[in-house]
Amino acid sequence: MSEQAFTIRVDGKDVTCQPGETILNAAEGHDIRVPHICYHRNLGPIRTCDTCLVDVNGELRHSCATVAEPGMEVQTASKFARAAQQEAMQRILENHELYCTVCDNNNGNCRVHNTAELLQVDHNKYEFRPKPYPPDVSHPFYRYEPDQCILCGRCVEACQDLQVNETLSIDWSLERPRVLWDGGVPINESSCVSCGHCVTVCPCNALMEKDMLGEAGYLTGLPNQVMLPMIDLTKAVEPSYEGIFAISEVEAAMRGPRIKRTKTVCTYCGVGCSFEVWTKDRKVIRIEPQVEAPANGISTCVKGKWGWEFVNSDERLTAPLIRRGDTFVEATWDEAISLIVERLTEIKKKHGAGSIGVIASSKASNEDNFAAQKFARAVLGTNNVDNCSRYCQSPATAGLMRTVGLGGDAGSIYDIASADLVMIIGANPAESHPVLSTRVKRSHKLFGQKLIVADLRGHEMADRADLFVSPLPSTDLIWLNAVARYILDQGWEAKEFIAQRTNGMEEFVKSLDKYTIEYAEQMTGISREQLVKIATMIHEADNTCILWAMGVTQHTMGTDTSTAICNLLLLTGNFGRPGCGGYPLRGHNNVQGACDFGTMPAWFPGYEAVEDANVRAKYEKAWGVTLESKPGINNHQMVAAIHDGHMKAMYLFGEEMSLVDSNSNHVEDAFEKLDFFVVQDIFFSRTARFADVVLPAAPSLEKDGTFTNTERRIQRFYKALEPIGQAKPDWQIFQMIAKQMGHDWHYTHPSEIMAEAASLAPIFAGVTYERLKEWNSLQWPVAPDGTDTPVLYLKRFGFPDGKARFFPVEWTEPYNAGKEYDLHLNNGRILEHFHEGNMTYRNDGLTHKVPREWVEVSPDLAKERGIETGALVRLTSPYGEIETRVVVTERVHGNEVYMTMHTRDEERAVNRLTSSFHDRVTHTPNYKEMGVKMEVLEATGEDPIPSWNWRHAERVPQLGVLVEEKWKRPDYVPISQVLAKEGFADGQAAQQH
Amino acid sequence: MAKQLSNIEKRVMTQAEKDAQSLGQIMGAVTEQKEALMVFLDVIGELHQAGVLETLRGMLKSRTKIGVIALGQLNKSGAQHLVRNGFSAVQFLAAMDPARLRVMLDSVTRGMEKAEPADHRIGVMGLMGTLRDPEVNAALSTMINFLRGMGQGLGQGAQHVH
Repeated sequence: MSEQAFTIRVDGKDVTCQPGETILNAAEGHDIRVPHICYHRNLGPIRTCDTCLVDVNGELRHSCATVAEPGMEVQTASKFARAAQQEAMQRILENHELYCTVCDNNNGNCRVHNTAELLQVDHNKYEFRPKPYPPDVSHPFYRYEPDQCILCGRCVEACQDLQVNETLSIDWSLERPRVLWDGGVPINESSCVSCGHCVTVCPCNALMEKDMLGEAGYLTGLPNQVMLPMIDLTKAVEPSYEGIFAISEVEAAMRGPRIKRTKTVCTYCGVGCSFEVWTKDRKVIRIEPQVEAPANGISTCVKGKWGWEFVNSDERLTAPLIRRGDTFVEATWDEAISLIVERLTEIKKKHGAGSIGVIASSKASNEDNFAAQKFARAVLGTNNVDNCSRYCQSPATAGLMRTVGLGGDAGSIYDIASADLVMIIGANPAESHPVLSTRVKRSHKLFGQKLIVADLRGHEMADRADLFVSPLPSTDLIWLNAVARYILDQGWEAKEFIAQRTNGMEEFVKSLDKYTIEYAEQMTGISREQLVKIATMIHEADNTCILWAMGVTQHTMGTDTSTAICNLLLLTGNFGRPGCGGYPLRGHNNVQGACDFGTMPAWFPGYEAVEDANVRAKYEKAWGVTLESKPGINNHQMVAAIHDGHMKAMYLFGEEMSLVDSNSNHVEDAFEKLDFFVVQDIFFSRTARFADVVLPAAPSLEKDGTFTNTERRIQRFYKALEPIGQAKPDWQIFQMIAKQMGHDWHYTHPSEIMAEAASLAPIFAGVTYERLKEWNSLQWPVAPDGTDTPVLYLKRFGFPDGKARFFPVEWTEPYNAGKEYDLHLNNGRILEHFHEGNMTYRNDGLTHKVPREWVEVSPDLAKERGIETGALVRLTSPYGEIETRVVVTERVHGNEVYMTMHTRDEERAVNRLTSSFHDRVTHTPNYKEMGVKMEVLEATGEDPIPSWNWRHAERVPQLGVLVEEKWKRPDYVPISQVLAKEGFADGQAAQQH
Repeated sequence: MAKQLSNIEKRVMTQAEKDAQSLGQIMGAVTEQKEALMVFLDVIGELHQAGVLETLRGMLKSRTKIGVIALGQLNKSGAQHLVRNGFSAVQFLAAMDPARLRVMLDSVTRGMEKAEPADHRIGVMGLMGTLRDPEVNAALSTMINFLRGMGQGLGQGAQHVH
C-alpha cells in the first residue's frame, strides 16, 4: 500500500511510514536506533518501560505505541528525549542489578544490558532495592528471580495474549509488585503449561532456563560463596557502568566459541516451529526462538522448548545390532550391511521384490524419505513403501485430492489467524498442535475471531469456543451434510464461486436430500438450534477455516468425512482466497514431507502417479533402472501380507509400529513371522525387539536436512551435534546399503538429494538449499524461479480444468464392537508427550509433569461404577485388554471414555484395544471406533495426573499486563513531571501516555 | 520366525582395549603437534625448575578458599579504594590528549634538568625580575590556566561523585 505512504521527520531525516505504522517501527526501518525494552515485535506495545519515549512535536510519547501521522516532527535523541529515556532506564535499574559479567543472560542479546548501554547509563540515580520475595525454583524447567525482574510485563503479555494460557499477571497493588502465577502460587503448581514464552521474551535474567544457569558464562558457574562477594566487589569498585559494559561485552564475545547456536526445526508435531538451539559440547542449554521463524515466531510449546534431553539419553543406539540366537550382539557397520544385503538379495531372488516392504518415517527428513523411496523403488524394485500418514492423515489427503486437487493445507497459519470463523472438528490443537492453537486463541481473544468446536470431548478449545457441539461418535459426516443442506435451503451458497470455479454441484445437491436438520438432530445428537447456528455463523463470516485431525480421519469413513468438510467449504466459497480453506492438522513434524517426497505406494515424490508411464520414464532415466509399474501395498496391507505369507522381509525406520499401529497384538504377531526384519531407530524400540538387524540412526539435531510442516512449508535444519557413537543419518545408511547392492548414489550432502528431487518433481522445481537458508522457507508448489505458494488455488484448483469438484458422500455405519462392549473408547494425544513417548519419557521434566497414561471417565459413569480418580480398571475390547488408572473429569460425558496414547508399556497401550478395521479408501485404521468394557480392579488410588500438573489449576485470564493499573499507583510519577522539575518544563511534555 | 528379544550384548571393550584406543588417539595428536609440544615441554621444564608449577598447583587445589579470602580482602573498603583508584587512574590517563601530555611531560623533564640546587636565596625583586624571563613567564601562565581549570572542576565536580 505504498501509494498511501507518507513521510514524517525523525531526527531531521525524512522517514517513510505506512499507514498505521508506529514511530518506533518507522524509525527502526530507517536505521534510527530508538531505545526500548518492553516492546517486542511478536507482542506489540506494552508501555511499561518508558525507555522508548520520544519527543513528538514537543510532547513525550511512547514511540512503540504512537502511530505515525503526517507532519510529525520526532526527536529520538534530543536532550529532552534522552532525559526521559534516562529517567525510565534509571527506574528500571532500581529493580535490576547490573552484574552482567557474572550473569547467564550476558550473551550479546540481553535487552536490558543493550538498552542501558545505548543510553550510556553511567550511574544509578535510584539505588537498587531487592524485592522481599525469594526466587521461585519450583518448576523443573525454569526459575523466576524477583530481584532481577524489571516488571516490564513482557512475560505476562506473552502468557495472556500470545500463548493465551492466561497464567501470569503482575499485581500492581502490591507494595513491591512482582510476577505471579495463578495470582500467587508456586510456578510448578500453577496452570502454567511450560510453553516457555515467558522465559523467551524476558529481557533480562529474571526468568531463565534452568539448563542455562551456571552454564552459559565463564564465571557464572562459580559457587555462591565466591559469586556473591564478587558481585559486591564489582558494584563497589565500578568506576561507572561503562567499564562494566566493556568487560561484559568482552565476556559475551568469549562465550561465542563455547556456545554453539544452530537453527533447527522442531522434531515433534506438524506445526513446524523453528528456533535456535544452543549447545555447549553435547548439552542442550537453551532453545532460543526468533521472531524471524516463519511458522511460530517466538512461540514454542513444552516439548519444543524443553524436550531435547533424549538426544543424550544413555539408551541411544550407538552401534548396529545383529540378532544371534536369543541375543542382539553389537556389530560393525560392515557386518550389519553385508548381512542386510545378503538377506534382502536372497529373499528378493526367492520370493520376488514384492515380498519386501519399506516403512518410512515421518520423523525423518525429506531427504531421508526421498532416499528411502529411491531405495525401495530403484534398488529393491518394489513400490511397497509407506509411512505413518497411513495411521493418521491419509484420509484428509484423499478428501482434499478428491475435491480441490492437492493434498495439503489451503494456506498458512497466518490465514488461520486472520479468518473470521475457525471451525475445529475432531482435533485438540491446544494439546496436539499447541503453537498453532495459540494463534486461534489469540485471534479469538483479541480480534473477534469466532470459534466453533465439534468434538466428543470438552477440551480447552471447546471451553473457549463460541459454540461447542458434541456429536455422537462417528456422525460428523451427517451434521456436515445437514449444515450444507440448510445453507442451500436458505440460499446462502456462494453462487458465483460455485458457477465459476466448481464442477459437480447438481449431483452434490441431490446427494444431500436425506440430510435434513431433523435427520441430523436424530442421528448426531446435536440440536436443531445448534445446527442452524453453525450454518448461520459460516454464512455470516467472510472467511472460514476448518481445522480437522484424527477425530475425523481415524474412522471407517475418514476419507468421506474429510470430503464432506471440503464440500461444505466449497459450497460457501471458502477456498481459493487468503484467510479460508481446509486445514488437516498434520501430526508429525514431517508427515507432510514424508508423503510429499514419495514414501507412498502409489506416488512418486510430488504426488505423481507410479502408474503414469511418462512419470516413470523420467525416474527411470534419472536413476538408470527399470521401475515397477504397479502401485505397491500400504502399511496395513503389508501386515496382512505378512500374515498370509506373501511378505517375507521388512525394512522399517523411525516408526514404533508395535505400539502405534492399531490392533498391535496382530501387528506383533506379523513381525514374528517375518523372515528378515531391519529396524533403524535412535532407540531400541519395542518394534526393534522383533528385528534381525537394528541400525543406529541420527535424530534431527545430529544431521542436516529439511522438514515440511502442515502448511506445506519446507524448512531447513542444521547439524547442531555430531551423531552419537556410530549412529548415522538415515539417508547415509540407505546410500551405504544401496552401494553394496550395486547402486552408487554419490550423495555427499542432503542438499544434493533435494536438488535431485527438485529436478524430478515439478512441485519442488524451485526448491534449493540456498533458497532455504537460515529462516527462509518455501511453501510448495515452488516454481522454477523460486516463487512459492503460501495460499493454494488462488487462480486454479489442482485439476486439469482448474475447477474444484463437489464429491457427494454418504454416511455409513461405523464399526460396532458389540453390545457387551458398552463404553465408547476415544483416544489421543496430550500436550506433554509425543506418540509412544520414546523421546519424551526420556526427559525428566516432562515425565515429572506427566509420568504415565490414563483413561478419562465421566462423573456419571464414575458414579455408576462406584469409582474415583485413581481407580485401577481393566479395559477389554474384542482385540485385547489393558490396565490403567482413571481420571474422573467433565471433559468426557456419558459412556464415552478417553484414553491417552502415550506409554511405552505394552500392557497399558491403547492400541492393544483397537482393531484392524479401517477407512475404506485409504486403509487408515479406525482408532476412534472401538467399544470396550470396563472392569474395576481398585475403586480408588493415586491420581495418575500429579498435583503439580496444570490440569489441576485455574487460569487467571486478563487482557495483557494492565499497565493502566501501574499508572494508577500512588507512587507512580509520570516521567514528564520529573523532567519538568528538572527544568524541561517550557511547553515540552505536558503529557506522556 | 523371529521371537521378540530384548537382550543386548554390548561390545564391551576391555580396559586394555580402551587404553589402547585412547593412547592411539593421543599419539595421533602428538605427532600432529610435534613442534608445538617440544616448545611447550621446554617451557614446562623451566617453570618446574623455577618452582612456579608447584605454587600453581597449590593455588589451583585450593582455588575456592583462595577466592573467598581474596574477595574478602578486596571487599574491605581500603582495597576497594585501591581498585577503584586504579580504575580512576586508568581513566585519567585515557582522558588525556597524548600530544599535549607529551609537551607537558617533556617540559617537566627539561625543568628537572635545569632544577639545580640554588646557591643563593632569591629575593622578591629577583622573583619579579624573573617574571620578565619569557620561559618562566610561559610556565607560570600555563600553571595559572591549569589552576583555573582545576578550580572549575572542583566547583562542579562534587555532585557527580557517587
